[in-house]
Amino acid sequence: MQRYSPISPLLTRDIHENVHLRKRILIGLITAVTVTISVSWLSWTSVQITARQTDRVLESYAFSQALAITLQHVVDIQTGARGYALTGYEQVLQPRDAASVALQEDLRTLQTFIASQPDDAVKIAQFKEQIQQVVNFSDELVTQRKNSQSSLSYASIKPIQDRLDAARETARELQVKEAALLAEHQARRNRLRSISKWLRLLNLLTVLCLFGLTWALSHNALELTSQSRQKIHALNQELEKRLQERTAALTSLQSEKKEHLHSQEQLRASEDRARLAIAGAGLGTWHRDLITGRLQWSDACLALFGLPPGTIVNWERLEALVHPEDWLSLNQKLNDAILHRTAYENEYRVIWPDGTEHWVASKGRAYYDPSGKALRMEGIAFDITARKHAEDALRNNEVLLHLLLDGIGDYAIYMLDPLGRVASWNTGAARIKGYSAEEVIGKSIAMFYPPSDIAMGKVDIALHEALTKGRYESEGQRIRKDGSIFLAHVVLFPMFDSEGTLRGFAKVLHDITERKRAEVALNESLRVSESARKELADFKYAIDQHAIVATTDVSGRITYVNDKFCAISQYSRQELLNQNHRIINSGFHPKEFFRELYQTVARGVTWHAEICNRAKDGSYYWVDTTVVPLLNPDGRPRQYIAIRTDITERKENERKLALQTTELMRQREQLDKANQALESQTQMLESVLNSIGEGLVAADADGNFILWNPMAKTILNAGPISSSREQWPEIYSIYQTDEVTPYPAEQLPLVQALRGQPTRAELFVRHPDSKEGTWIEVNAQPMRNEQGELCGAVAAINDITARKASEREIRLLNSDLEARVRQRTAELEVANRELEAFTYSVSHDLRAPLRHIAGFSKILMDEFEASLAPEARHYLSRILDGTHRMGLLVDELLNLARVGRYNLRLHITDLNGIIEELMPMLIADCKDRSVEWRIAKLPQCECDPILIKQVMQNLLLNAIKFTRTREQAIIEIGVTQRENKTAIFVRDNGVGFDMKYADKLFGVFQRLHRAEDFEGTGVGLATVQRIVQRHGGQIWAESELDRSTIFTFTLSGLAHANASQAEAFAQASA
Amino acid sequence: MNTPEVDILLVDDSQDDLDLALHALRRENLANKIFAVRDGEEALDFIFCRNAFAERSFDNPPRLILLDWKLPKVDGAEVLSQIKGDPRTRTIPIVILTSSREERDLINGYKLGANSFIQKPVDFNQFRDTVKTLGMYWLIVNQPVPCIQNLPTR
Repeated sequence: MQRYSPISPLLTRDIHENVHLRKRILIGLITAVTVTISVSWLSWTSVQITARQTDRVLESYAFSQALAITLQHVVDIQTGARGYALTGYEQVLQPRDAASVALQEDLRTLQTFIASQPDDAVKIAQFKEQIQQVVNFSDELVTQRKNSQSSLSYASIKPIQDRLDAARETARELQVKEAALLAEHQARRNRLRSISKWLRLLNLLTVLCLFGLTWALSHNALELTSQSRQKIHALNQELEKRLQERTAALTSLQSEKKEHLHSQEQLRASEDRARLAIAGAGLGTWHRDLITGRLQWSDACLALFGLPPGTIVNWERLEALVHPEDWLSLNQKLNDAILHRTAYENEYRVIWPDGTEHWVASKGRAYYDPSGKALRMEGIAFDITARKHAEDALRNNEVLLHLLLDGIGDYAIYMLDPLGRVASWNTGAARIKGYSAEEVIGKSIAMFYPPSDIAMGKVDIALHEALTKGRYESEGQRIRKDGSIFLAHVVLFPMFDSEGTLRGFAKVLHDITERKRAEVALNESLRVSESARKELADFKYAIDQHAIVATTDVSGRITYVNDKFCAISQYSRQELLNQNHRIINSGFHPKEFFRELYQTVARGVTWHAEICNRAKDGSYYWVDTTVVPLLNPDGRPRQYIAIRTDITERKENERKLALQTTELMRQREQLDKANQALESQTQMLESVLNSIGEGLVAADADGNFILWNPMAKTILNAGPISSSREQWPEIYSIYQTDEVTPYPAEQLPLVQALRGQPTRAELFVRHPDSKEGTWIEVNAQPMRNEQGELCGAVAAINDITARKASEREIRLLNSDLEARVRQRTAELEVANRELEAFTYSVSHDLRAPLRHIAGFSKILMDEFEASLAPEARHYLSRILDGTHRMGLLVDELLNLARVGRYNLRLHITDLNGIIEELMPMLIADCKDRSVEWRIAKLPQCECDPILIKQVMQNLLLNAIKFTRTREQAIIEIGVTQRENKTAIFVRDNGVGFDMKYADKLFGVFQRLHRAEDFEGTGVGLATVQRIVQRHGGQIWAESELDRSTIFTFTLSGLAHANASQAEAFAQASA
Repeated sequence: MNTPEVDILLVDDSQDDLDLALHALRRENLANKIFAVRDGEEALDFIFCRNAFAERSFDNPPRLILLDWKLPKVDGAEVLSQIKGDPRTRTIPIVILTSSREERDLINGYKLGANSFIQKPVDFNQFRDTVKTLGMYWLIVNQPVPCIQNLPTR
């Protein structure tokens, strides 16, 4: 049985120290964490306060703006009401109505400010009160105006102005106060900003302290560990010695065992304590026979491997127990120790049979025979699991610290040795300076300084100051690996060990280039963001004023609508929010349309189209819609903004325009057709005008020529020349018919026609380039439009030069003819005179001998009858007959001749009167005969009564003569129509004549009866015809042989007989 | 020479006409104081008492002149014109007795102051009646101017 000596006091003390160390580490860590947390909390708090202050500032801004907007709306209301009160124009009320609606919103907004700003609550309430007064008064004004129908006086609208001014004053006070608050908040915020800056610095310092503390602790711990090792080594020696002593003591003790049971009990307790001590020290012994390879382990040693005491172990078993990763190194180290006769020292892991892992430290040495051959190895082993764990924890702490340091990537934190050479290098340092740890460890920090600073000895100054004052802080330029210079904030601490020896320096460096820049940028960005925020608000306001804006989330739910959206859709905001846009779907567009919309915007692409929507009341409206997806950083839509513009009116206009266009197209087609027709007509007219032989010139009412056909150009030898009508005679060389007097412009036919007077004239046109002029006949007519207003005139121009020439010729011929006629007349007159002389001679000279013959024959017959033989008397009577007939003949002939040269003396003559005058002679001519006279009422006649009496006498005597053979003669005088003229007829029922001789009836000396039957000279009817002809009449003779004869004659002076005036036949009988 | 009182002055160039006229007048016992001249010149000499008739006095003018229209030398119109143009002879009734029936002559005759214008009918019976009527009228029925000298002169 083994005996263990009591545990070494040295070891006990070490163990106590170890425990004490752990406590200190723990306390240090707790302190550090506490400090860190405290500082962090302070920092966080300051940030919170800063944020609150910022919110407060923003709120102040918002409040000021709300006030301004509200005031603006009130002004709108007031202006609208005032304007309406003065003018009565309804349209000025529109902005007022809009402002009234907006004002409600404003008041709600102000209400929220009352909640957040209790200080201003009274003022705000006052402001609201004043606003309400203005609104109420404006309503009153509008109502008053509507009722009165006439402009309100200035005095009656003045109070509203006063109330508005009061509201303005209140708003201004609020704003002034708000501005003061704002300034205060801003100052506070700036103070907080500097405080938080210092807090950051404090945080940094704390970290540094922690770092230093940790480092010191670690150093201490390592020192302790190495001391412990030395002590363990000493303990081993001591233990071995004591083991041998104890073995002897145990042997002696064993002998006394039975005698001192009680003592044994105590002893066992003591052994147990020793075993516990050894076990607490964890020391086991081992023996290895290098010749046989046998292993001998103490139970403690076995316990180290988790084996029960007494277990036999061999090399194979050992291999199974040692952690496979450590087995090779274990063999290696053993072999090295044997080979090089060095001490064997190893730490390795052991896997216990229960699977747990334990660390074992093993030390030993080999023993050799004098020949140097290794015989055996002996050593101890002890458990170092706890130490390993402590080391792990320490290492973990180091890692933690390292991570902490590395985590503070913004700071270069590194150690310097007492000479100012780099001893450690964190990732922040690597990042800031660009050097890796390998590149700088062991090198002087002077490499980071600019040459100028080195020249000034700044490196030494820094180290010296840190050493003397315990701290050095500065800002200065440093050089990176790539040569670039940056601004660094540096803090340098000296570090001493527990003995107060300088161990080096801790250096914390912070690249403040960015911070400096950020500070500037921050100020700038604060300023910019403030203006940007305002600008954004302005933009939003502007867009809201113009456009219909809505936002939806990705699922299409409406998350925001502006007032215009509500107005046009007629839904309230509450009705719209969280609804799908289908609420305003009109059904106008196919599903594909909206599918395309969602597909497009879901891809993150802006979509644009014109959409027909349906308002709440079912009416449709058109909006020009742009849907913009707002994207997350990953490019997926976050929400959609739809901006719409009301284009209903435009759409309506487009529709109307389309209709109008169609209508226009139709009209245009018609117009085209009409134009074509017109064109063809125009062409036809033009060809007519071109081919017409007449010159045509037309002018509008202002005297501008609108037509001038080629013939007009030819005739006038000129085209239309734009000029005043006064100049026309000059321009076109128009003269009067004398060919030298310029034609007066106002008398030009076209000019007169332009005055509305149709005019026809002959003009003479003298062409400057030709000697002979042109005679033209112009026939101008005014042109009137459908209303009968004068709208111009047209002149037809004929070249009458040739006609004029003809006329001239005719005139010449006429005058020639006249001369010839005169000559012929003279000749005829001469002939007439000769004829007269002849007839006179006949009447005078022929009658004289005839008379002599008749006279002497008569004397002979009367006075010498008795003496004459009967035969002589017969002959004498034949002579007398002959002379008598000849006398008649001569008288008749004279009469006929006289009618020819007789000058008619026309008088209104009563034909019945003439017949009455003739009647006695006629009745005398037919005495002893039965004659029935049928005399109608005859018309009056303008004629020569003497000649017409001859006519009637001749005809009636003829009638008496040729009815001589009739028992009852009927002689009828009446009126008839012949060739549409009134005619007088004389009819008898006498012997008549053969109509084949009718043409001879009126010839001189023409007789149709034998002289024995009916006496006559054959000159009477010729005389009758001559008289009738001289009266411009005609005479016809018709007869039925042995039945009747009718003579009908007309006279130019015979008035149209009124048949009703005709009286019954006058009956007369002989 | 003592100029016989002349009732009718016949002025005719035709002996035939003169004979016939004288025959007719004689038959009516009107031919006692008839003087015939054969032309106008002679007629004017007779009336104005000159040349061959110079011894004649204006105190015994013929009571009627039967004047032919167509006369040699001085025609009937001229004779008429001179007689009617002279106040001493103006009152002597002049009957134009002519074979002409020319209107112009008629008008001219009356204008010149002829008291009557008679166409000599071809028929002798009518001629005799006409002459008889003329003589009876102018010489018996008609009252002549009382005294030539007492007539007022113009």
